[in-house]
Parts: sequence; structure tokens; C-alpha cells
Amino acid sequence: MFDPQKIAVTVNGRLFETTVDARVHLADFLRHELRLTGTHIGCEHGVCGACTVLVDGASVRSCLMLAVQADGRRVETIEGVALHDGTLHPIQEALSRHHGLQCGYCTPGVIMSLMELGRENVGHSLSESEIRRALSGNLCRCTGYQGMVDAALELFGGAKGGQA
Amino acid sequence: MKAPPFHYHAPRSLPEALDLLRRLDNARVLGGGQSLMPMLNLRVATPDHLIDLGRIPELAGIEEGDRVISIGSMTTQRCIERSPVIRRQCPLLAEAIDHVGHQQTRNRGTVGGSLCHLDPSAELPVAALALEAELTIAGSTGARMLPFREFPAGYLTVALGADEILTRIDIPKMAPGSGSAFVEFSRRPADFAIVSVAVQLSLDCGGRLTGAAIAVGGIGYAPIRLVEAENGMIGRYPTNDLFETVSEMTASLGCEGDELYPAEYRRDLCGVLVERALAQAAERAGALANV
Amino acid sequence: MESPTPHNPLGVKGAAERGTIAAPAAIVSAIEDALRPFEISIRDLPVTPAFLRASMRARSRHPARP
Repeated sequence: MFDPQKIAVTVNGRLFETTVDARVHLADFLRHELRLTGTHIGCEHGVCGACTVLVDGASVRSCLMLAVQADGRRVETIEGVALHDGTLHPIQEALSRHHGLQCGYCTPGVIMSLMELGRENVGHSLSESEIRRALSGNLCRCTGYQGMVDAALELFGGAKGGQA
Repeated sequence: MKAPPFHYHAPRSLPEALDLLRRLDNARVLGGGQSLMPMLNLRVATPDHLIDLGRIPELAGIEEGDRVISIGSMTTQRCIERSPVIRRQCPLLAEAIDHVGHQQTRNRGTVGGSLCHLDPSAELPVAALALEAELTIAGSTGARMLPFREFPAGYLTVALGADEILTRIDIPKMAPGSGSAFVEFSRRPADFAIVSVAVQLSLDCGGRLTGAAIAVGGIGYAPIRLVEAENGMIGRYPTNDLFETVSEMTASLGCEGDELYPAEYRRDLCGVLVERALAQAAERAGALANV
Repeated sequence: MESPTPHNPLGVKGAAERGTIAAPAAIVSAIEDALRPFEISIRDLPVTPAFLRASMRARSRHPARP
């Protein structure tokens, strides 16, 4: 390693204490060091959102964050979304039902963005334009986005309000 | 691609950061990383040292003073977005931030980082110019203040010395009887603006203009103020005819364009957006003045 | 002779993406139709805002406001 850095980072509720090279970004750390390959790399320069994870509850492009910057922080990835017994999270279940995914490459990033959206809007319902705005940082080549929006509207729009 | 090898530093105080910047060769300061990290990953930038400002508490935060709102340079755009103080006291900044990037980039990107990077299509520099923001810049010999209009020096270049760090951005609170608007045109809602316009107007109790600031971005390496138009508006009533006149003045603006969005097209957009922003700001100023 | 696939209710099979060829043509036709008063003829892609704006301006009596 060129510049080893000691870090202690909580990922999906589990603490990892390890050494990482300074130049390794968070996405590569999650994928290669922790073998959490659900976080995908689409562009590696911050435009596609496939690498979206939550850091201290906020969605970030993990390819634009150094692993060393996650020291002392709480990271959540797609692997922590479903329950341990495999029960899908309501966001995952709605996405599936509304055909909000095809190849699945952008999907973990989309789900993490929707996780943040849901948590920050508990109790009030969102419009389609608010949902589209929240998803603007996640690109999808397959679906045309409508299925994702429909899933999000079912979860967060109308009378039901913010959930999950 | 992956970032090239570099030494990482995470100073815990501003003096420590300034000392590192002064001592180390080929060092770059890391803010929110939303502009610098892509450059590193694409190997467009190859610093030997990265000085992360993210662990310096005094560089982030929003403080309300009597006359200004003082914003630490490392304050995230997310913080600005969610600040009731900013929404209330600097609505132009609040409106501009709603157009900036995406949720993920606002969560990490900083106000200072955006102003120092000075992307020609960025929204925050346009707002800062209209708001007449004052910058505090720290160097090894002390701190200096600089009005934002003197900060841009060239394409992606600002008047920041090699050993200097932007620490604070002071934004004057919007005066009573004022209204503001931020409008932009982009292909998709969250895209970079092709042209953006920030306007702040002040009216006296008779409804006449006492102040006008019109800043336009996307037509050159840095945003500009339409000074001639602004001066011509003082003392007049904010009517649609006046806005149309101002809009027509933009037809003679010097403009830079590219193949996809040539200069004439940008100038065209300018005229439309200026008129729109003036109308919105005037309506809001009138609405406030009537309260 | 028909050989429907047993794998879906309609028995249909993929035949690559030739269907997408018609889409840009349909969109361009729609643009020309929407701008019928300006009699703009579009022969090249992409159809950029700058091209449309310049074309409309060239046909309009009010240069700043088509």
C-alpha cells in the first residue's frame, strides 16, 4: 500500500477495523475488501448513481468518497436492506411488482436512494415530481424509470404517506 | 480508472491544514469531493498530497448575524438546502441550491468547493454574484476578505493562492421590501444549467426599485452582472415593459458557446430567463412589501 | 409453419431491436408537426434546441419571441 490508513467503519450494523490504502474509494472497499458486491460501479466519475450507498443515513456516490473518509461512520449498502431471513424490504417488493428493474445493475443504487427518501418523508406524501427529483441521480438504461416511479408512488405517494 | 497514489492528510484544525498546504508540494485540498474525486478517478488531476478539510469542525456551519448569514466553506449543500435560516433570510441562495446537482452530490458537495471549482454552468457562483457574497480566505500570513465578484480569474480558476483556503462565505440577509428569483434552463430537471439567472430586487414603499441585481451564468467562464441594466432600473416601477426592455438589452451580450449550445442560443435563453426572473422577483418583492 | 415458444403466454420470441429504428423518425415527424406554422424541415439528428430555436427565429416576424 502506498499510504495505509487505519479505519473503523460500521457497515450494515457490523464494525470493521482494517487498514486501507488512501486512494481506494468506498465502492471498491465495499466490493473488494468486504466482498459486498451488491454496490455496483457504473461510471466511476459520479454521474450514474449505481454506486449509491448511505453514509450516516445520507445517500452518497461511493465512488466519490475515499474509504478512509468513512472512518467512524455508519455505512448501509443493499446487502443490509432485506431481512436476514430473506424477506424483501417493502421498497424491494414494490420495485419488483412494478417492474422497476430489468438487468438490475442500477437497482441497488436506486433502492438506497429510495431508502433515504422514505426515511426522510415519514408521515407526508410525495408527488411524482418530488420522486423523480429524488431519483434524478440514478441513471437506468433499461426501464425508462416509470416502474421505479410507480413503486415509489405506491410507497410514498397519496394517502399512505412516507413509509419504510 | 482508479485514483493515482497520493498521501492522505486529515487535519483537525485550520492552522494544521494551512501548515500542510504551505509545506507540501503538489498538494490539493479536498472538500466534498464531488468535483475533485472524478478528476482523480479519471486521472485528470494527480496530486501527491490530498488535504481533507472534512474533519475541521470550524469550517462548517451556518451562523446568523445582524446583517449577514455566515456560511463555513465546508458546509454541505444539503445543509443549505435544509436550513430554515437560509430559506428565510437568503431565499435566493435557497432557491439556487434546489437546482444544484442531485441528492447524492448535495449530501457531500460543499458551498466552498463549488465556488472554488467555478464550473461555468454551476448555480452557486451565479447566486453568490447576485448576492454580493463576501469571502474569507485564510493563508499562512493571515486572513483576507474578498468580494465574490473578484474571485473568478479564468476557466475553472479562482483568485486563491497556492497556500490559501476559502473558509467562510458571508451572504447579506435580504432586506425588507425585496424579492428574488433563480431560474435556469437545462435539458432535464437536475442537469447542469445551460444558462441560469439570479435576480434580487428591492422596492421602496412607493413600489419603485431601489436596488436590482441580475447575475447570469453559462455565457462565459464566470457569471456576470448586467450592470448597465441594473443601473437603468433604479427609480423605475417594476413593470413588464421594463423587464422586456432589460431582456432586449441582453441581445448585445458577449457570449461564449459550444457546438451543442452555441452563443446565439445562449443569448436567446438569457433574454427569456432574465425577463422571467425579473417578473418573479418583482412579484415576490411586491408580495413582501404588502405584508 | 409457426413455432411459438412455450416460455410465455403469447408464444412470442425476441427479434432484436429493429423496432427501435422507427422511433426517431416518429419523434422527428412529431416535432415537424408541432412546428407546422414554421414549416421547418428536419433532415439531421440530433434535433437540438439551438437548431429549433434558430429555425423558428428565421421564420418568425419577432426575432426574440417566436
